[in-house]
Amino acid sequence: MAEASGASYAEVRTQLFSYELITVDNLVLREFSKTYRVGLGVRVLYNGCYGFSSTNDLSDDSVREAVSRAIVAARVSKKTESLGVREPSRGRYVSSWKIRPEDVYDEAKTELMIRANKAGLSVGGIKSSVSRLGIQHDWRYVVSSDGADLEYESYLVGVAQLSVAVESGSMERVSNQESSVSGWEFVEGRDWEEFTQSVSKLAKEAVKAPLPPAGKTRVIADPEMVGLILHEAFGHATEGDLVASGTSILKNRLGEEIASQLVTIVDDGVVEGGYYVPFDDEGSLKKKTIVVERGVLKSFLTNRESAARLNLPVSGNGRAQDFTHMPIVRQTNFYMMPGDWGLEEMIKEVREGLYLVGKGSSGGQVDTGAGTFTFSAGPSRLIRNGELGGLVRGVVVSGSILETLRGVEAVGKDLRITTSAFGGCGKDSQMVRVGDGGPHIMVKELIVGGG
Amino acid sequence: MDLEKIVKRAIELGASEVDVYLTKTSETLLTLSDVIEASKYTKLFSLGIRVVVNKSVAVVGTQDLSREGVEKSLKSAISIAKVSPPDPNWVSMNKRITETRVGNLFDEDTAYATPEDLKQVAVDLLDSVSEGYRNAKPVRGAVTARSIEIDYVSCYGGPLTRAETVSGLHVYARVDEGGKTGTFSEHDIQRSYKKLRARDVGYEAGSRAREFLEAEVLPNGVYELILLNRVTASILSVMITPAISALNVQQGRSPLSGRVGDEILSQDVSVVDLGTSPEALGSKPFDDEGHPTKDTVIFERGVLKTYLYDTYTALKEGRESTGNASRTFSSAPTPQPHHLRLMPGKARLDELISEVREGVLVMDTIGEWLSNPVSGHLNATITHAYLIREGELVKPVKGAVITSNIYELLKHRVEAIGRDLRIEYGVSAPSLKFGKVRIAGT
Repeated sequence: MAEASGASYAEVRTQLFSYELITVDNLVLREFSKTYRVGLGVRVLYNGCYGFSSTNDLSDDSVREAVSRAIVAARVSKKTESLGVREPSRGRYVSSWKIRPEDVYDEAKTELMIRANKAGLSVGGIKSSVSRLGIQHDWRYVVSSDGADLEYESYLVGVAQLSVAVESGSMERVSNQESSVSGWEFVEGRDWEEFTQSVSKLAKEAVKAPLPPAGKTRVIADPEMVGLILHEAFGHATEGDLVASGTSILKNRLGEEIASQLVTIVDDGVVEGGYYVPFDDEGSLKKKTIVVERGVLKSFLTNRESAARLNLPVSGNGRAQDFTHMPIVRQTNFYMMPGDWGLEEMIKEVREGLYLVGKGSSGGQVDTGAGTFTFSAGPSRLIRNGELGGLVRGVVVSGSILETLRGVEAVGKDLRITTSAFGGCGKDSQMVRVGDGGPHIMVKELIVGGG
Repeated sequence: MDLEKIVKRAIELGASEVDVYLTKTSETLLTLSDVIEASKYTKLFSLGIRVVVNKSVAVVGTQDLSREGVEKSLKSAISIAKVSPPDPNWVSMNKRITETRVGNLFDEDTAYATPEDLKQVAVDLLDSVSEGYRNAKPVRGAVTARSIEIDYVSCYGGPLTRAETVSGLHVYARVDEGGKTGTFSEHDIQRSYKKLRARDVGYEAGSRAREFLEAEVLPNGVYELILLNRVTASILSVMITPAISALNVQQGRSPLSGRVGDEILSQDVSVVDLGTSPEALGSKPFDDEGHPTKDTVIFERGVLKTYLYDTYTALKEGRESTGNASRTFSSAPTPQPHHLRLMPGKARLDELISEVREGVLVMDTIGEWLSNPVSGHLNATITHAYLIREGELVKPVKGAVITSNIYELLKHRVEAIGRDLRIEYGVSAPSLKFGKVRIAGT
């Protein structure tokens, strides 16, 4: 239809998406909701310009209207000089699962969450316990006029806990979540009462904890924290659209040593513990991209347009939140490769500093142009005299992207990658699920906002 | 779509109460770099169905509006409610279904704006960046025009319909000179795309980006602090909005629990929620469960007067909702402000600056949303600020963290309140001057 209207290229994405959320708030089932999304997005290249339109009314008339609106939209866009070349790909991908979550009785789900919530509330000093179960099912189908015909189906399930502790007028919240690209077997295979209790115990301990001393300090970051730092502080700056438009501080720096030689960073669409992105929303297969190798900047993450502008391969990172959005360059699973240090060794080496823990963090943000990032850590520990010391709370760290990566002094031998069924990463008003992680690392200095 | 039919069908299927919430949004969006990168048009219908069966509540949201899609969602909602344990606090859905008279929230030109209509706004925005400074370039931005229509009906009444339009733009400007980089972002939001101040925004972004070429890292220390209006608005929304929600209060997640009548903030600080004023973006004639809206004073000269309620939290305390129910098509309502406003004072920004001996004027921050509204602990990373000495802006600075307790700041440290109200969607605030505050720098 689009080609008949004069478009030189068209891609059509169809999506069926569902999300189930159970929220138990202080023993009361506060929300059991199910969301169904279905619709279609069409992007055309018309006279060399991109235009996009979407609709969830799948009648012939409405789809025809969407195509003509995409062409109208293309009329005001800039010329896209060229698009990165790719092999036409066909295929069907499915993430692995044993038990489809929709085959499980709703009753069993609510009972499980009420029990978990009760366990979270049973810890002394806990004033508030909120437990959530999230189940996502996503089916995406992309067809393009240059031969892409790709389909995937995946499940993502997770449990989250928020506990608020109160002690002598002081309040503290701690949250944590565990998610996995799998079926209901992930939920069945774990003790969620123990999980919610562990979050509550941490909140109870944290409410008494002091703020960290403010100022510059040497740190060790755990794998979840490393994931956050990498994703926020560095990952965004490697996104090809930001590089091409000049928003990234990494522009024109390919081949330069931008990080410590201990640092190797990759972006991979399918990896243990991470989110599931076998191909992107432009219909390009997602390949494992080595972004930094032994400290040297090797490549950027690209969609077809930024690949052409930067003269790089198409890496399959053109992702859209859903059928109502245009694909833009996004990370998939962005993580640091392990090294050879043990955690104990690092703690001894640091002597005086801070051990940053990702559990309980509420995320981070970066100004890619100014090169400044900031993120929060969960309750963390001081390092005193080469040993782990007391707990501190309210930890927010900030720093400069490149100084931080150059300041990586040791990389651990462990590796952990995580994803979430409750949140994701925002860019240009689009939220997508991502995975991130790495080993423990030791960093020369970061600014800590404390008391 | 006949929403009343859906209500009837739900009752047939066994619901004791039901409400239906339909949103129709359409949006035209231009994304920008130094040119118009791409343009899109989206039209989306989303249906939310909430049912109650014997005090058990379920919500199903769907964008599949075919007859089968709606029937499937209805059955799914009923079956969830039937197997869910009852909520002992449930009394009923809102029964007072009517609207408040609010002025015009809808601009026809904006609702039907084409990509071509927004193109001129985008061109003005992009061109004016280099008028701010010849070497300044726009690197990222957007222009958008959106209309949102909400239809509501329940077993207690309706249908009610409301519609509003919102149009916004933003631009991120950058200057590269002598190996240094300066950046600045600015934005605007209005009911009508014709009122967007594209040229002012572009000029501001370009000229500030030039100034921040020379930004130095701020040394660790204790400074007098001025938060520019846009920064105050952002912090207000992150820290105060969750704390005044009756749901968070009742569930023990607000530092303001049990504090109504107490002097929480400085006597100079008043905060209201505006539900009925068209200039306050976010105002509306009825809330997301069909309850009429109103203006609510939250802090009057520092004293906490009330929290914000929806029907559920209000009935739990045997009182009337403040008309603050807010929901997405797929979630249950919770209390949210319509438009939170920290009331402006008398001082001009230059008067605030002139009173500072050694301090910082904060122009922009990131990560303030990482702060903790439960403990009141505020963290915001300064990306753009000016160092002030003896009442004069001395030089641009960056890269430091404001770390403080919001209630300590707003009760004991506020020294002056600006008259320069900045209106965002859902929040507005003036610039504020504080006494000495610790800032973590290098």
